Amino acid sequence: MPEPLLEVRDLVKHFPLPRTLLDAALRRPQETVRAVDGVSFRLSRGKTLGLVGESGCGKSTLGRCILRLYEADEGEVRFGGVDLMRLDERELVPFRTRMQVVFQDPYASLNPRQAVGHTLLEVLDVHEIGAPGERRERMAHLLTQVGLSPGDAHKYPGEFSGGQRQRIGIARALAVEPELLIADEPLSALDVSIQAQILQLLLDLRTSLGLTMLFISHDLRVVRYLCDEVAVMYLGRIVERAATEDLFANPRHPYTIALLSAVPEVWSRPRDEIPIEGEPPSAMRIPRGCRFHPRCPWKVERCLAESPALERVRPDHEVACHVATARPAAGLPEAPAARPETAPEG
Amino acid sequence: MGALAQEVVRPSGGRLHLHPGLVLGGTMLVLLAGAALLAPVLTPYDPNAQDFDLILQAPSLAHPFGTDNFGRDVLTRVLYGAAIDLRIGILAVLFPFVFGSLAGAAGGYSGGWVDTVVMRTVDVLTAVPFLVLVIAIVAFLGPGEVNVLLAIGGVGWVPYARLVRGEVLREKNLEYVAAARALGFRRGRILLGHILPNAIAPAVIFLASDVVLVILTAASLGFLGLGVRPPAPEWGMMIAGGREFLANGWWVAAMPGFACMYTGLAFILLGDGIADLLRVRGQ
Amino acid sequence: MSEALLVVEDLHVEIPTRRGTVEAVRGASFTVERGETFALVGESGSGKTMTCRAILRLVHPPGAITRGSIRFQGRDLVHLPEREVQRIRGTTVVMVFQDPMTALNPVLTVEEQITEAVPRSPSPASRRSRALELLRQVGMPDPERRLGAYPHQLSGGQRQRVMLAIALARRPALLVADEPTTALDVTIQAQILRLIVRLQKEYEMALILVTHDLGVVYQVVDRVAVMYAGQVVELATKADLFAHPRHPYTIGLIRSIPSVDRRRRLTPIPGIPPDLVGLGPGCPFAPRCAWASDECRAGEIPFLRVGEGHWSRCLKALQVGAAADA
Repeated sequence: MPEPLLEVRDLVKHFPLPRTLLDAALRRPQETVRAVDGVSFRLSRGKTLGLVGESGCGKSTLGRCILRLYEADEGEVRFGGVDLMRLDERELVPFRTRMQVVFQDPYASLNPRQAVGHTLLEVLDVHEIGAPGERRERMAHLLTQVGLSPGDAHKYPGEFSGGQRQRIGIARALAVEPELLIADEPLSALDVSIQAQILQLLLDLRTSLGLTMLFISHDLRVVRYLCDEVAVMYLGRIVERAATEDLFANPRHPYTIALLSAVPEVWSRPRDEIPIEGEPPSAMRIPRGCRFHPRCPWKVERCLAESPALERVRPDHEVACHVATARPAAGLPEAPAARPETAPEG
Repeated sequence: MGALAQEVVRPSGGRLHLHPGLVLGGTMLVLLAGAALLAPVLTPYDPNAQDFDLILQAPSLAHPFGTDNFGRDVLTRVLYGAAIDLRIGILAVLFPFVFGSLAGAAGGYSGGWVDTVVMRTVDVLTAVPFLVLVIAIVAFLGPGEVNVLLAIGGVGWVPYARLVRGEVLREKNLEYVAAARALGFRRGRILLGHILPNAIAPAVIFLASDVVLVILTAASLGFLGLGVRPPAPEWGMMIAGGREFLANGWWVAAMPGFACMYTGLAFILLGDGIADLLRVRGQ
Repeated sequence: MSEALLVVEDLHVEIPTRRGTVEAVRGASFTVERGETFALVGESGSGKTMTCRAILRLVHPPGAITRGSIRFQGRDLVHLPEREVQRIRGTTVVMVFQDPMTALNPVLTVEEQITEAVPRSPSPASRRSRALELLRQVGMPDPERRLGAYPHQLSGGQRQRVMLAIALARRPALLVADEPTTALDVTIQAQILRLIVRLQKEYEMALILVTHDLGVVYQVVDRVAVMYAGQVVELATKADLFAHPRHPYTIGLIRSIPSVDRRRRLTPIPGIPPDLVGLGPGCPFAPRCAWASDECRAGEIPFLRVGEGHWSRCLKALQVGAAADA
């Protein structure tokens, strides 16, 4: 196996909740949000990994830890073989140009008081990309590359639509010619027809620039369209990881199955309802044993006590589920009878 | 491409839209400053020359604002006083604005001990009423214009620090700041080049009204005999001095009062105009 | 044949702003039958939310209904006195919103908010038991305990359940749901959608579901109105709309959605929606449309009948449709 471009090992990021003096006086235990709770994966050069999960599963925190926007508590983030977590801010700068990010909110992700051309030129100037005389041309090229016109350079973010702003955000990320692009929900704030445009743009850029991508999303439809492999997160852990085709054709983790069956699809009848109960618990109170067991219709005794690790069930397909890994060939048994949506949680 | 470069610097592309408040307030201030500078030309009288034949004369052609209890021409004193009051008003907000904004920005952005030092100082200074603190400092340093400036400057930065810190706290969590960090920009560039321009607007708007507050504070100090020393024609002292003659010489106190109002109005209009200029384009 | 439950005809809503008048709705027409599940689909700015606000006469001033009629159970809601409208609102026509956090009162408990909606009944105890029954019907976990909860103590899905309980208290004839699941996670969205459909059947209500998600439309409704730039551009049964779309915008939307089942190539609609200030005559979709010709840009585009119960606001509906079916 070739050296991956990005490798994350046992990454942990907990956020302690603020304590009041009263909490301390009463010796209440420190509460923490276990946003990322031991995540490992590898991403090979030129591949796109989709990181999916619902809100609060830690997928965005994971992305920010990789970018060192958050300081992770434990673990390693190896980029091109170098552990980024051991570098200080100055040593990190060369890696900043090799790894870039596109954010979700096209309204907050651009400085509203900076003309778009200025935003791009600043990046080129700071990292001294290209000769000073040709930076303007480079900026114009970046705008064209993302489907805007060089004439847009003097406009301000507020003068663009959401989709256009997302294009500007992409141009800014591409200005440093990165190898890895982390896209954190880049489509979820956009309208359907605009989503498709940006999705197509990302796809085209990935091909033409040979980008490696970590695509963070809650939308399985989009992930299916764009990604080579998919990792499903639940409450701070990866519960299933596989090549995209395999994951969508043979989902093994009960959560993945439930997630897939919940996607409102065009062209297919409502699927057999998977009886997933209630809502995810808070990341402050992660259940003992398998963190999915309170909502899992397949749970067995072992799930209540022992947290399952990611195990290989097929080539290039890993699952963290006691029931699924016990039957690697067959997958999960027949789903227990569907209960109405009135099922109480917990 | 040359034209583009210009437009990057000058976003409005020549079609500068001017807020009426900016024009009106600016004009009023320019007139006042011009009158203050040209006072020796505009009026034949000496601001401090006493003439006991002309005590408490009502406004007339020769003395449009009347005369005071020493027979001094009130218009002349108001014009000369404008120089003093404008100087105090502007100088005494400039330092608090710059220092308070930087302190608040640094505290808000770095957090930790920097924030603790800034905010605890702010708390202490807020605990004592503004005027009481200023009076105490002037009483300690002694009266006089320089000491008044020092006293107001030493206390007046507090609201700027608060305003800017709050804005910085909000802005620093927005994704454009995360993007700047991910691009490896230095802290100074992020704070001064990206966050501060987005966080400074409320402080600038406050600045305009603060000038008025400071002039009134200087006037109060003058009133208490702690400000500029007499017989300098400072408006606050003039109002204080004219108070005794409200019954038979209302103009002695009212005319400098109107001057205060005029100046206040000018700065408030200006602040309104600046607020409009600081609006984010396209929203 | 008696008239439909709700008949919206040539509805216009305008909002004056500093930039000019925003023509939020520009001649929307559709009907909703008793007990029917109907969807208004469109992207932001399409006028779908404004249309359903108009149905409840909830257009905030200075916005106003400037033309057209809304007949509900035979009565014209546009010209009804405000007091009469208030009587209808919350009793026979109810609405649930995208963000239940802002729609619920943060300082009242769940019980207080539900009993407020329950019709006057003899004793507080019976109102309480009715509130409890409603909470059970909307599938609230642990309903006895939740009666005393405040909105911030509930999750997004639970708040939406409370909204539904309040909406159902008066046994309405029409439920208008404005993006009720957009703020929710996909597994919770599925639960709430199933709940809405089940309640609709039990209460024999008509449902107008406002959404941007064609997937949700496909899973839930009977009939669809697709909105673009303030107009209903296509009106059809669900089956017809997806199998035989007759408007280029609908076709573009359908081709913009990826699927979890199979990888099919997306063909995004180019360009962006028009500015709703100072829209001239002609088809508002023409600048983004591959079929557009000079006549599309010239005059008013009629709402053409293209099949049994199927209407399209496109001069080239038949050409477009033939291409789409092929």
